Amino acid sequence: MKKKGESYIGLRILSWAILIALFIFWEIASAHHWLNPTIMSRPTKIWARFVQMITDGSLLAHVLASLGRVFKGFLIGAGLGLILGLFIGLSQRLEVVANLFIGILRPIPPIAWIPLLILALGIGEGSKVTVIAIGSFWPMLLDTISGVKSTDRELLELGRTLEKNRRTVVLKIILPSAIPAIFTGARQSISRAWSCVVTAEMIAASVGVGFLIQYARELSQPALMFVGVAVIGLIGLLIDWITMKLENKIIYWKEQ
Amino acid sequence: MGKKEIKGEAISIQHVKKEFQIEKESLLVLKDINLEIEPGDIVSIIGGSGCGKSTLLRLIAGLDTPNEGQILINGKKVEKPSVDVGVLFQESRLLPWDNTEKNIAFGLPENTPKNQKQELVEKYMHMVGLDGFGKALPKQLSGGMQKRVAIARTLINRPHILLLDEPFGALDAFTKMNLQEEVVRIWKEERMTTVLVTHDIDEAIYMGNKVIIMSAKPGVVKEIIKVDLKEPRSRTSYDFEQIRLKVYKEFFGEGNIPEDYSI
Repeated sequence: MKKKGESYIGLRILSWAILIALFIFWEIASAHHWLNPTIMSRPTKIWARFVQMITDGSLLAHVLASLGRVFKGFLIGAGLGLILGLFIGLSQRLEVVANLFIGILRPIPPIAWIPLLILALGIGEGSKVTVIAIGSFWPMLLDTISGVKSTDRELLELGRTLEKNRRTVVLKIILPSAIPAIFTGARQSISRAWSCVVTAEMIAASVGVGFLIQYARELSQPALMFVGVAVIGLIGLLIDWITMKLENKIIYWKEQ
Repeated sequence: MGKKEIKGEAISIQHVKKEFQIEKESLLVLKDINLEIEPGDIVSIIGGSGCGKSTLLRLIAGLDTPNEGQILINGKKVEKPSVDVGVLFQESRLLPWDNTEKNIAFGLPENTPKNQKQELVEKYMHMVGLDGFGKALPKQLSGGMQKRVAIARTLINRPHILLLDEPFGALDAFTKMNLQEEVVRIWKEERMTTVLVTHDIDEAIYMGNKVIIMSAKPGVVKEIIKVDLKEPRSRTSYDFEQIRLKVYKEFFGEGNIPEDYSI
């Protein structure tokens, strides 16, 4: 078990060392033609391509296009999930009705909707944002419902002894209690949104990180493909890091 | 500001029966309880676990309803919780996201004017010795201080009746004695009718004017012992010891008192 104050600095360094060693091995293997250069590019080439794309601004354009879609889709999907989740969590009757629909719709992967959405909305922004909205809707919905429902019974009883009305109980007890769960939902929603955008862009887009990868495959440019893949991972990491920092700020009352 | 006069109200418990359904079995928790608690009095209810003492308190608080019989407060039947009946639970039950001031203010009705709210919060924070901790969150306070916040929150609305459900059970011995003294001091000032449920014999004698002894399965009132002690009470006086012996005898029978008493 991790003791308080221990930061495992040695192990952190080790994980970076392994990563760097892998790159070195990859580079050596490529130099000796052990790897097929039309599929596996090599780190130095990927790096060069990455730097070039940053300097000419093309990478930023793709990233911003993807992030813009994620942002819109997340706001719509997670926003709806939050509102519906609050209502369903607060009303047992509504939950009974909603359970059937949640049961049927939730297992459908968001990507399965893409053909239908393209038919309905065309290949414009609408269909892509909708896929992302669907993807980010579910985690938010489910976590909000469970957050509201898991309100401490002792605190609800306190509300009763103080004759608090429903409004006060919801605003001062139930909602704050649900915030940690809502936040977990938001974290999952945003990472789902990020993976949905890549898929949606691979199917129909003319700009964006997903498009970039698809385009690189068509042009047989493995270095470009790897730049795309790496950027997806890095931005995912960044999103996770930001939400983690936000969590400590928003849920300030949590015991360390 | 017109000071609201607190009037301790009489509690009358009449033929109260309470059972719980556990799966298909019914468990008789309280059987024909009859008690009269006088306005402004302070009494202790003591008994082992499972004697229904906490259930009885929940019934007085209106958090549960009896299967038979009724409870009257000032002649009116208890049907639901009321702001005039303050409850101090075993757990402090603070809102973890609110600081001390906000937690204490939560005891007041929502429509209390802001400046009056502020004034009262400061007064009660001072009363329970929390000056300077207004902005602290519950997680930054010790168990004893959290309990003080809960006490202030219960008292700020000036309840006519104060119900204490094993309130100091989870605290260390010194904090416990401290808070017992404090609650008795506040009771002497405010004279709300106070009912303490506890499994701590010394606490029951130190705080109560009467010690109501309950026995379990089913829960019934076994004996009521009057506590006639010179004020301020001393936990180590001869008279205190005599009452303690009486209570012990009720629990363990004549000449059967264990050397080291513990429940």
